[in-house]
Amino acid sequence: MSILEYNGGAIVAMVGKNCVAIGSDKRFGVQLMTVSTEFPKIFPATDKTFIGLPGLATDIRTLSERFRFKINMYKLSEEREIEPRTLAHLVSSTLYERRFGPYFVEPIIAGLDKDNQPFICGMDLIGCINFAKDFVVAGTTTDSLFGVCESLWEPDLEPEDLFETVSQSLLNAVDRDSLAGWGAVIHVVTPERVITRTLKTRMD
Amino acid sequence: METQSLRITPSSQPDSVSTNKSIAETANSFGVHDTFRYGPKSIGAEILPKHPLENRLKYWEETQTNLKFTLERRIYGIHAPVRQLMERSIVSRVQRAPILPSSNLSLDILMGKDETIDFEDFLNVPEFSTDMMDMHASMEHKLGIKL
Amino acid sequence: MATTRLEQPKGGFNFDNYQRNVFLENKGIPVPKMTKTGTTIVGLIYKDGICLGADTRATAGPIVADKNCEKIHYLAPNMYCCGAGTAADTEFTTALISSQLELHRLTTGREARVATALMMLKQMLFRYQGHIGAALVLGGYDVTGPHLYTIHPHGSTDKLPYVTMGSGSLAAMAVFESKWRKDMERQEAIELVREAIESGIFNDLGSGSNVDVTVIEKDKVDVYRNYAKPNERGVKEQSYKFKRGTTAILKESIKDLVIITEGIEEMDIS
Repeated sequence: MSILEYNGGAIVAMVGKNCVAIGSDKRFGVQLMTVSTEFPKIFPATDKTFIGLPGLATDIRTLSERFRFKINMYKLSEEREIEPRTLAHLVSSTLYERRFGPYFVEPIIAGLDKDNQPFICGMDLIGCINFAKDFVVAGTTTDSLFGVCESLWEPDLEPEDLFETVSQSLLNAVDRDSLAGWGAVIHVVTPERVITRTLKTRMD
Repeated sequence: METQSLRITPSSQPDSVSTNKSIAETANSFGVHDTFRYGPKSIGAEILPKHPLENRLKYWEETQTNLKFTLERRIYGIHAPVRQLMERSIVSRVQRAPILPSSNLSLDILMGKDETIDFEDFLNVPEFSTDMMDMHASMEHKLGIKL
Repeated sequence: MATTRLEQPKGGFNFDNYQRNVFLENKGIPVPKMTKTGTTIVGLIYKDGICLGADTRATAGPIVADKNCEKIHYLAPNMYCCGAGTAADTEFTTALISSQLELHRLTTGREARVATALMMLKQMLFRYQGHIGAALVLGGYDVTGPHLYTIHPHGSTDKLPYVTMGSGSLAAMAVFESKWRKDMERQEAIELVREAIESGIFNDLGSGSNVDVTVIEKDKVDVYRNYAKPNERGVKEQSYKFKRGTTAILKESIKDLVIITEGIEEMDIS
C-alpha cells in the first residue's frame, strides 16, 4: 500500500470557456474505515484560485496552513494577489524543499489569472509541475479519473456544462474507488462569481 | 574536522551516535533535558539513520573552505588563511539579533557567493521559517553563556 | 519539529520528514512514485551547429502523467539542455543552472561558454551523489564552436558528436549508429533526430507522444515544439455533454466577485 492511499481522496480540475472547475470528495478515512465525511481537501488561495491537496491527511493539514501563510506573506510584500501560475511555482518549490523527505501530497491548482484566463496544473509529491490544458487529476482515484475525464472532457464548456462534466466525472470515478467518495464538493470559478456546490452522492 | 585536511568532500557517514547525541545543547540549569523549551526527547528518533546526504550538505562548504585554506597555508604561509578568517570574522559580527534573519551581504561577497545562486538561496529561506525561536536562549547561545 | 531553535536555520534542502518516511517505509509503506520522464532524449552535431530532440511523455509508474510535457529546457540564449530521469530534478537543476548562467553573463558581460554550464552542472550533481536523478544532454554554440555533452546523475560527463539518453536511448542510438555522418546538412540533421526520437517513442514504453526539436546555430536558435506529432488523437464524433441539472446538488453558495449596480449614477459635476 502506498502512503497516499492511507486516508484516501480524489481531486479533479478542468478548464472550460473562461472558467475553471475543481472538485474533490469529502471522505477522510483510515485505510478502509471512514472517520469523517466532512474533510475539505480544496482550499481557497485567492478569490479566483483554489489549491487541492490530496494525499496523507496530516500533511494536507500542515501544507494547507503553510500555503496560507506563504500566500499571505506574498500579498503583504507584493501588495497584490498571487497569480495562479506564480502560486504553482511557490507550491512546487515548497515541495522540492523536501526533495529528500517529502510531504505525501500531490497538489492541484486551479484558477483564473488577472486577465481571467483559465489556469490549471497538477504536481507530483516533490513538485514537478504538469501544466495541462484540459484537466488534471490526483489522489487514489487517479486511474479511473484519467479514463473518465479523457472521454468526457471537451473544449470550451460553459460554466454550467463544465460543472456537470466535472461532477459526473468525479462521481462516477469515485464510485469505483472504495477509498474516496462519501460526499463531494465542486467549485466553479468564472470571472464574475465563484459557485460552490455540494453534491448528493452515494454514501457507501 | 581536522584543520590540516586535504579532503575534497565531507564524509557521507552520519555522525556517530555517541558524539552527536548529547543533552548538552538542550540541558537546563539542572543539567537535564529541558522539555518545556525543546519538547519531549525521543531516543528512538535520534538513533534512526539520517539521510546520507544530510551530513554531506551540512559540511560541504566547511570542507571546501578548509581545503582552500590548507592549500593556501602550504603555498603562502599561515598568514593567508589567517587574514581571510579575520576578514570573515569581522564582517560576520555585523548582524541583527540572532532570531532575526540577516542577509550578511559582506560575508557573501568575501565568500564569492554574491554573484551566484544556489538551492540554499531559494529553498527553505530563513525569512519564511516558522520555527519557534527564543530570543534569550539564542542570545545566550551566541555569546556562549548558559543559564 | 516543535523544538526551539537557537540559530537561524540555514537555507537549502530540508530533511525533517526523512526519518518519518523511513519509519513508514520500515512498516512496509513505501514512498510513493515520483514523476519520471522515462524519456528518449538525443543530440547531435551537424555542419553548422547542434540539434537536440526529445519525446514528450512523463510517467508516474505505469500511468502517463503528462502526454505533452517539455523536456528541452532553456539554459542560456546559446544553450539548451534535454532532461531525463526524475522530472522535478531535471526541472529544478536546469532552472538553477540557467539562473547561475544569467548571473554569470551579467557579471562577465559576455556570453557563457558551454563548458562553463557543463562544469556548473557536473559539480552540482556530484555534490548530491546521484540523489538528484537528472540525466542531461547539454548542447550549445559559443565562441569556440558547437559543443555537445551528456551528464549522468552522479556527475560524470561525455563529449561526443552524437548522444542519446533516457530509457529510449538504445532505440535512438541504434538509429544514430546506422545513419549519422560527419557534416550533415541542417534539414538532414533534424530529420535524423526526428527518426531517432520516433524510434524511442515506438519501441520504448517510457517514451511517447510527440517529437520536440531545438536547433542551435551560431547566434541563432530555433525551437520546434511538437515538430512531429506521430500520435495524434482521433476526433470525437459525438459530444458527451450532460444535460444541465443531471447532478443532484445538496447545497449551493455563490460568491460574487463583481458588483453590478442598477440604474444610472449622477455625474459628479462639483
